[in-house]
Amino acid sequence: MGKPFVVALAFLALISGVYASEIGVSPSRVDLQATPGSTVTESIDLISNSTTTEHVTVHVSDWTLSPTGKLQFLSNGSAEYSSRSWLQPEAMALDLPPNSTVPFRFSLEVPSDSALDGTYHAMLVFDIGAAAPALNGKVQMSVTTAIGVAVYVSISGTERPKAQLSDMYLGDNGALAVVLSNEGNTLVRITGAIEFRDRDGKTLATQSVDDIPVLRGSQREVDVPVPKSLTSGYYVALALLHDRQGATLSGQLPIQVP
Amino acid sequence: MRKSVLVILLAIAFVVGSVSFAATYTSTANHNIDVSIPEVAFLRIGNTGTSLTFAPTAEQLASGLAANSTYTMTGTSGQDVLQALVNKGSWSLGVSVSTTTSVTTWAATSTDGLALSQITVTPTVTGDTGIPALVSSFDLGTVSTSGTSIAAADGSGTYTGMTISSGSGTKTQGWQNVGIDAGSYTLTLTGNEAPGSYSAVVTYVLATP
Repeated sequence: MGKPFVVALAFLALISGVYASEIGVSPSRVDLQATPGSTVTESIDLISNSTTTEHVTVHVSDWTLSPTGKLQFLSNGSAEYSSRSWLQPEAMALDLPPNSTVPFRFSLEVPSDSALDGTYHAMLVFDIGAAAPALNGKVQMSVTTAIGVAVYVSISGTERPKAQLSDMYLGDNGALAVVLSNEGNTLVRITGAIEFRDRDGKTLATQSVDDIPVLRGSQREVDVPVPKSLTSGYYVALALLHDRQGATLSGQLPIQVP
Repeated sequence: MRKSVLVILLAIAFVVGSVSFAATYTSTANHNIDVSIPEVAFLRIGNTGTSLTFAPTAEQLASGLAANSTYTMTGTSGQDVLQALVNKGSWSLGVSVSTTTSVTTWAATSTDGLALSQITVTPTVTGDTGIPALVSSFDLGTVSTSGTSIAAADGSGTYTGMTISSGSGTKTQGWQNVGIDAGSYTLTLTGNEAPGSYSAVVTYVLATP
């Protein structure tokens, strides 16, 4: 192997980038259907472009979303509509080889309970274990990454979607707050757009709303920025939203742009 | 005259009809194009390091710690920039901290000794547009007492954490800098710290609920 070739290889390694503590998943969330007493099995891909083997620890966690959409991990057993105890990963830990895609299976054992209805959820968390920092009289920290895969399971035939646009108002931060309520028993995902119209009804700007999850029995408040292209004046913000079941959610709010 | 015009029109209609008939059935060929984009979520730390060191020397402490003042230093080496990639519209980035490997016990407050709250994380790398709700400053003490938890599948290894950034209706548009690297970490010393070896593991968690 000639020296120029070695130099070229080194250069390629430099420009291609070297990443540590990298982990990816596909898909990034899972929606399943099941009946009481049944077991469903699913597989996702764990992906690493790291140049070293990553040791991955698997966790199962309860979680919820705050009204502003922040993910909150909860202590086990404290979440409503949790499927955490049904979720069985194929392994609690594994080694992810460099530059690899590894299938990872898990199953959901749904209890034989006829009272179950709607959608339940839990989260699989894949945590790249950080090596313990050296203890040498200094303050040492290891920094690492983890990735969570939301797992939803719906009891077949029992879902009752019922999403509503509860409120719209102009928040203190200048953004348009859109309040969505889920009074049904299943997850709804809201998509659509907010149109900003002048007093003649002409649409001057549009802000898209994409894939907003609202857990069953919960409320979400989504901040939609008022477009900077709108000059000072009076407008109407028109919400044209829909859930994935096709139900339409609409509303409007007169706003003043200072 | 009228009859001959009719004949001519019929002839033209026949020719045109024949041409279109022929074109319809002699030139059909289809290429079906199917595109399938998988849902993905990635989180990584760039380049060489995932460790961070604070090693103030005796001279630095002596010169920097005047009475009732603090000595502040940033991290050295180690963690390169944190980057995320999400191609779905809703995501959340959290952080947790664990001190289970530490030899010297972290104190609850900075008046008792070295506390996690004395390590502050401030975005120092400009976040890209794909991360619109980029993290603001936070300290590891707040993270450790935030009250939410991630538990291991076997019931052990619970640790706490909190959300520092989230996106609604926004994809990250490829790999995007979250805004945190080694220079983002700041240690502020008061002079109350007990000598020893302190360690912690900071974990960033990405999810797309």
